[in-house]
Amino acid sequence: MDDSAIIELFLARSEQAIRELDGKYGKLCHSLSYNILHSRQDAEECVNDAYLGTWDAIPPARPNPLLAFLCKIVRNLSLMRYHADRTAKRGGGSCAVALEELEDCLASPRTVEGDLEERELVRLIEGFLDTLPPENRVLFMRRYWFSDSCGEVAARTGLSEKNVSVRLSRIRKQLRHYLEERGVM
Amino acid sequence: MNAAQFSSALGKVNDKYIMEAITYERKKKSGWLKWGAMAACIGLIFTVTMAALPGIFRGQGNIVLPPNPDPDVPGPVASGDDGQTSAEPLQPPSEPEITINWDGVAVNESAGLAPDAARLYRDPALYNEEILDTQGVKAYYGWELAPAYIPDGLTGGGKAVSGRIVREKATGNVVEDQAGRSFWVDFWEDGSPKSDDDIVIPKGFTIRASRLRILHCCLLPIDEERTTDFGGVPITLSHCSMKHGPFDPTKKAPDGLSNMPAGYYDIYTASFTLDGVEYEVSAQRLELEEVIKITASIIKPYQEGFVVGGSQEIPDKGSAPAEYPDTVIVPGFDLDEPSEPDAP
Repeated sequence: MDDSAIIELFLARSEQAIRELDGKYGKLCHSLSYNILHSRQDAEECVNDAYLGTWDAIPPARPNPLLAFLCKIVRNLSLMRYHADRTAKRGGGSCAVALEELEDCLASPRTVEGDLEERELVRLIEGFLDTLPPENRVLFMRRYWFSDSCGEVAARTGLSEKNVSVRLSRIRKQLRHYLEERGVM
Repeated sequence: MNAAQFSSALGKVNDKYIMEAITYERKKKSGWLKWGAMAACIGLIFTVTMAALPGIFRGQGNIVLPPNPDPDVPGPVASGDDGQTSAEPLQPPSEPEITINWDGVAVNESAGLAPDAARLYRDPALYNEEILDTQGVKAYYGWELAPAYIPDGLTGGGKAVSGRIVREKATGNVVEDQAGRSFWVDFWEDGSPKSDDDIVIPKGFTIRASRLRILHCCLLPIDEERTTDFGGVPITLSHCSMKHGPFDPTKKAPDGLSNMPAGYYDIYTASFTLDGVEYEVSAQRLELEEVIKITASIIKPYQEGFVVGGSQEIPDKGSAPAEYPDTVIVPGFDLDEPSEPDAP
């Protein structure tokens, strides 16, 4: 079933929409959530919450593409769960490692705290992504948006794990330089 | 800004970046690209080898005689359909018809192998490179670089003669051209020359050719080069004695610099220009007699046999014969007195 048909089911308030959504994108959503939480049970709950969020959002929303919309919900919920778990001294996983890698190229909260609105940062990030070749852009997104491990990114892109690691290191350096040039750092 | 804030902002980027990351499929290298790259590497290895180690060319087991439509005119001529083809390398006939006096041959002693010169980089945007196969070599040089005489026991192996031509795109002019063919006593499975005895240096020879005359003898001459006249064609013969391993690390060679070699072997080269094409025959572990026969059979591709012989020893460097008692019986081919070096 294509995305428009699934959305029509949502609009018709048919529970079949959830089943179709799970059948088509469930595996991807579970993978995304598990990468962040490293707990199958927590990932399962987050994905179910995401389905519920989608149910609540459609209507009035008619997201296109549906998958990106769903992934954003899954990621946001998973990160919220992750931070909640971290606060509760529980959890870990590759997300923490990924964020730690990013901290090296970002300024401390004191330097730009309150100076930059999030949407401006989003615009800058999109500008930076546009400067990257497609393959490097995918590497960056898979690692820091989907929280894939370097091994998973390597398997997806056909590169060696070492190559992925080296490329990501260079991209982070480029990001730091990009943000510094724009006075964000 | 900390990593969590960045991650939060990253989560709000345009959907196109997310979809790209989801739908991205790794690009498989096409077979053409893969094999094309391999072919380019092989071509590069081939050309570097031509410049650096002329002794590793290999020829084809299917030997085609150099054409010789006019026995009175020395040198190979572009062959027609009547060119002879044989599945086996030609062997010298048993009936001797030529005797060449050793004293008539000038051999230039060499100090050793010349270092490989850096190859010119040919920008693909400005030059076209063409790898010649057997037919290409035949079309360009007029024959397939298979001499009429091949010493007993040597074969061309399984690979064809090959060459390389570089043309300037703007003018179409040829700026580099070389081709080569080799004959060895044995071959490894990959086609590289193989020794058939305890000495690691394989026995055999290579013919190289260039219409642009860009070949350079691999042997560094000690003195001014002297030539020997083969039927009107001046031949520059050079010789060098080379060490071969295994080298004994516990003993020093007589020069006091290197380790003691297991032995020595001879390298001979014969350089000449024929019908506007520069040739170089490079032989290792072959007798001078064989090198002369090979060279003579290129200059005058006899259909009948000949023998290089005589009672003289190989002349010392710089020696000039007073008389040539054995220089006779060369139908359509005279081995003349070696030329004297030009006055400075």
